[in-house]
Amino acid sequence: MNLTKSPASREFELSLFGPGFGECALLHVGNGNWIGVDSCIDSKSKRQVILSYFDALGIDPATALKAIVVSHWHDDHIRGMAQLVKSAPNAHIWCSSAFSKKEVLQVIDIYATNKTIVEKPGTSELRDTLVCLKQRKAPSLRFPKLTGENVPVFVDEGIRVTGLSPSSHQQLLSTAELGNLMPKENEAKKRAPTQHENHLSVVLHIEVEGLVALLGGDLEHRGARETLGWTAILNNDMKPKSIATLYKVPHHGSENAHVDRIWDEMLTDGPVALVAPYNRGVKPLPSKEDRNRILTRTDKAWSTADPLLPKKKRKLSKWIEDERRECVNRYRWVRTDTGQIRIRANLDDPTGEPSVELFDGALHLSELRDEKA
Amino acid sequence: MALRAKNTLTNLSFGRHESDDWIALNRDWYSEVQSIIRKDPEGFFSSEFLEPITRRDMALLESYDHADSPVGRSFENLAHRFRSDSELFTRPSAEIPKFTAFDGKPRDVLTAHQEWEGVVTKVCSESFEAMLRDKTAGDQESKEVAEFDIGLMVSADDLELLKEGAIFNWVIGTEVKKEGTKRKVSFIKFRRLPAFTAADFAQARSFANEMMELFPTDESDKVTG
Repeated sequence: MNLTKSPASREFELSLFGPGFGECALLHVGNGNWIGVDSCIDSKSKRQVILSYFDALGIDPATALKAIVVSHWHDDHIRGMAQLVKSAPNAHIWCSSAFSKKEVLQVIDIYATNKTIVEKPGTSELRDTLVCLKQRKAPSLRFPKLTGENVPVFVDEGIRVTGLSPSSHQQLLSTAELGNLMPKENEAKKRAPTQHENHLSVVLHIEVEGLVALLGGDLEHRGARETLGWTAILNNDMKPKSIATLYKVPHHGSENAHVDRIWDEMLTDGPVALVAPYNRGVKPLPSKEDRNRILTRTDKAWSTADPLLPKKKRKLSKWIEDERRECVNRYRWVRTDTGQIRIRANLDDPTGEPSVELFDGALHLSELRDEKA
Repeated sequence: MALRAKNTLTNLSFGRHESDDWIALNRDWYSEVQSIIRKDPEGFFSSEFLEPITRRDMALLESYDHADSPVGRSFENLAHRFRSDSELFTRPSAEIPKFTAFDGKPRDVLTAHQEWEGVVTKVCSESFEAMLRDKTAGDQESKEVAEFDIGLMVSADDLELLKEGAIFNWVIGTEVKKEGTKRKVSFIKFRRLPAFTAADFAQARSFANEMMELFPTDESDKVTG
């Protein structure tokens, strides 16, 4: 394994990074054309991980990145986005139409400019990203493009990257939900609340000369409602028909993003499945049940990191440690190092098995530790 | 000027004073702070400016809360009062209220040994979850997560502040009672942050107007008013 070896011109790559401070994906669709999906920061190096990876490969993001998809503003998907957009002046930016609404833009600004909070919220990064776009000179690159159902994000000879979500109904609902986050005048300042249910996330169907990947983003399942969540995608007759052999499992492998029909209808038997864990909640994802559920579908399942890998803790006095333990129901340190799963496939040999390379702590899904009872 | 005022603030020890109006503890300091607030109110209330004070005096102020002292409010409360009370900004210096000197009586003293800043991420019926940033270690980002029992850790005064996105300080320390007894303490105190103001909303509208230019397909949605 050689991290610094660039893919050949006729080589497809899907890299998934996480969970440093968040997760993001990177695609090489051939001929030096790259597409970034979301953004995250490596907590050790403090660098945007895609830029850091490009440095290692000796690739210039200014010419290589053709599109960047900004799926939503959750902290774990947007850190470093402004830096990425600034470094890739020739990349088209794709985002949800919810971000084009005045009420949502106001919400973005009002929480972003709150100086009373040290750790900046995702809205702050999104604001910086929009400001960065505004400064671009070429109009065709300045205006963000809006994703949705069956929207072509990148098209070239033999290559088609298609957005499958969010649905129109979903965008309307999410615009209202985001608008409702606007604080009241004289309400005490606070950090931007999280939109707990993740409905705006962009799902991508990628087809490169017969090789097909499905990036599930963070999209959750909203039950049987025909026009929302995964059901909207599954019931969409106009979506690309090709079946994926590579699958980025949505929403950190959680149960609320699992739908049997995705595995039955949109994926081959035993696809290569990639999971980026979520390590900033009291209960990390994927849970043991989540892992088992995925592993019953495929044994080719990989995780970018083990969120429960013991971390070297900061030493506290014993009495402070005891006192701390007394005060909390649950407590854990968050591992912040970024792992990478890299899938590469020779486009001249579409029947060949893609290679799977693991870097910086990425591992097989079955090797994740169980949470202590 | 800002640095001088900041140093004055940092050197101010709440433990040495007993006052009905703590703002008047130091006339020069008060004038200087007024001047800073007039020039850059948002900067004054930024965490960079307040943090040196809150970090050190938070625990002490908490002990005043328990002692029902006239200065027994968190610094955030007082800072908020500073900001919202425009009358203070215009009051002639001759009218600055007098303060009474520290009476020398022994008081409870609380020393913070470990402090985190928390952001509430989820509120349930009996517990809440938070991301924690170790302020004692000087971390700039959250590296710990915890779930707290509301009944055990949130005081009645703070219950209404317990919302997603709310900021709090969690202190583990020692308290020496005025009688001389010493005990370990651990408590959570929610910050009374300044409120969103009309200016904040105006700025947000202005930003939205400016950024709507990035979405020319949505002309019907231009911001008015």
